[in-house]
Amino acid sequence: MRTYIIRRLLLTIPTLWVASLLVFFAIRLVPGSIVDLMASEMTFFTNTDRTIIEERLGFDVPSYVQYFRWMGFIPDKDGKFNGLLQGNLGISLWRNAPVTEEIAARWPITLELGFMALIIAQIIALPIGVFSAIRQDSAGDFAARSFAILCIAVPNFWLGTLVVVMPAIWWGWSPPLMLIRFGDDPVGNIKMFLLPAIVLGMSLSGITMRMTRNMMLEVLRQDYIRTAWSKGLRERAVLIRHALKNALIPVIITVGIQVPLVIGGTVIIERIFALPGMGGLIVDALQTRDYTIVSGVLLIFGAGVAVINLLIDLTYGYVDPRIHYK
Amino acid sequence: MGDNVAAVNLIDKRKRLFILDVFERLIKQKPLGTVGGVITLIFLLTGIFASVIAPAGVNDVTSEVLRPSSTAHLFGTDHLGRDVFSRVVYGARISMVVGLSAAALSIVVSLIIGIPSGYFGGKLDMIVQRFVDAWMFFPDIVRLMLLMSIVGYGMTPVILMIAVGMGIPGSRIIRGAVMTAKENMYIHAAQSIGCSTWRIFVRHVLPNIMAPIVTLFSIRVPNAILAEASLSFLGFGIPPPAPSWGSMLTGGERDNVLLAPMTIVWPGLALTIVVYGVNIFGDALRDLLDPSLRGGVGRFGIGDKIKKKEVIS
Repeated sequence: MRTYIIRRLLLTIPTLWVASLLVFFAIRLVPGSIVDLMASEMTFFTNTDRTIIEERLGFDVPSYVQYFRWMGFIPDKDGKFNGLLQGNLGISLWRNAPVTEEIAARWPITLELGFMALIIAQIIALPIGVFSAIRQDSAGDFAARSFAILCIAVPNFWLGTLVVVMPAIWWGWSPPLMLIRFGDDPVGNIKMFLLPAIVLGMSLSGITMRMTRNMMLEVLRQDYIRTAWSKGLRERAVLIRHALKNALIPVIITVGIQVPLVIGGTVIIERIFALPGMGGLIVDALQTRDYTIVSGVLLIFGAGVAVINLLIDLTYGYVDPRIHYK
Repeated sequence: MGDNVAAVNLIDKRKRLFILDVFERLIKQKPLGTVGGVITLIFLLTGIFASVIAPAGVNDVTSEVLRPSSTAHLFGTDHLGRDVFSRVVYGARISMVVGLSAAALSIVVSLIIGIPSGYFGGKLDMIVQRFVDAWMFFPDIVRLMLLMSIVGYGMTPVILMIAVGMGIPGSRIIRGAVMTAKENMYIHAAQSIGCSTWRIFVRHVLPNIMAPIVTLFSIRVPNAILAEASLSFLGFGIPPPAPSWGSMLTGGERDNVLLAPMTIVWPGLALTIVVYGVNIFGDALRDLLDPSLRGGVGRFGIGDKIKKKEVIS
């Protein structure tokens, strides 16, 4: 077990390093550099100004030097190591604030939204998936399966827009589009996140629902289920304690796969519900060519996915004792 | 000579029968899949004959602004007086072209990365997979936003970038299938009689991974349609005034939604129905075409038995 964790962590290092290369250089491929954008905002712009801006932003050196500085492999102009390895993601080019501060103010919102959405997705998916499996090919099963695919098919940006707009038209009420901090008003905070989380959770639940159904069907054919029936156990005990418990193991993996999907979903949902999370940050930063913010947010997203994947792998071994880590 | 012609005829006949057979089984066994098939067919026909079906041009601006549904304008008009029905119909064409071509190209990308990686293994596999890993760390939509910022907005870039964006994760599935397929005796035989690697790929590996390819394609088509709409919605896809179903939910339509709420309902509804239809149609086809999934629980009828508690006997 311990060797497995160590090996996994070691394998994550090259991946994260490649990811850092991707996030650093990909955004610099975007045509129309930030210097041009800044120049277009000034009335009189000379080449001297350009050199000054470039120097201030640290663009006066080749990009690989910029990368090494950003990573903290080599010292900055002031002779200090100030990069990723030192826990620093650089300075936002437009906002003039450290990227870590910008992210620190926003990640709780994205995390809360994503977490709630995942939980809501399971609350919707598991009962329907189990029901669908034990009543296979019945009318209810058809309805449940249609609902699952409908959840996948409904674009969350459309559903979100409708949820914001339609109540206003029908009842003159619209969900509050303002942020309530958890510290100020916990109940109000949960209430505010509920609608966006349901919209996001719906689109996730479809996949889990189908997975649960398929796994339940497979497990229900096993010998130990037959044994459980013949022992005279109640239906509930057979289904929940014997079948569902085993069927859920692969479902956990699905939840892990969904994590990038959740993050991607928060980008869209945050925009619709005007939540100041990381999604809004990266959309703005992409449009204004704020390289350091884009790289920083992407890196946090990537690291988050990596950590959760690792956790899922370990949980998998915990819930399924048949799995041995080598 | 004559024998050959007869053989060819026989093959033709069998192929035709196979398709008919699948068609028959679809209708008999998969009522949901049939519904999906009909939706897919309507969607394709709408896309192909958009210019015939649409009563008005895509960007014909009139003075009749924000009208509700009427016989003249089936879905009403938007803030520029454009006929929403016509725009939704033309939107089907965009979704169809993007969905099919991006899905097909993404398979090509997956094959180019997945086959060598799975077949050769070793160091190449190790390096390639680290890149695929790193790529998969980032959420789909964020990757696509980044790629679209790099290559610029528009129809062709959307198709190409969705193909790349989805092709790289898809290569995992191809790689897995290749790793299983290459252990087969016929591959060893082909290697030992000195077939070129290329020949092995094309003649021996490719035909044996058709099942995952078909599956992947049927998943990718609705995914690509949704991805394009999401990108256009966020402003990173096909820019207005092109009638993409995604971009019809933002901009002027969104600003005037309180005056004409249905303008944002129709494109989203069309998108939902199409993605729904293509999904269940793909599901049904997969079940019918993939022999490894056949004769499973469904035929065994475990569901009925559980209901009647017959399992105990």
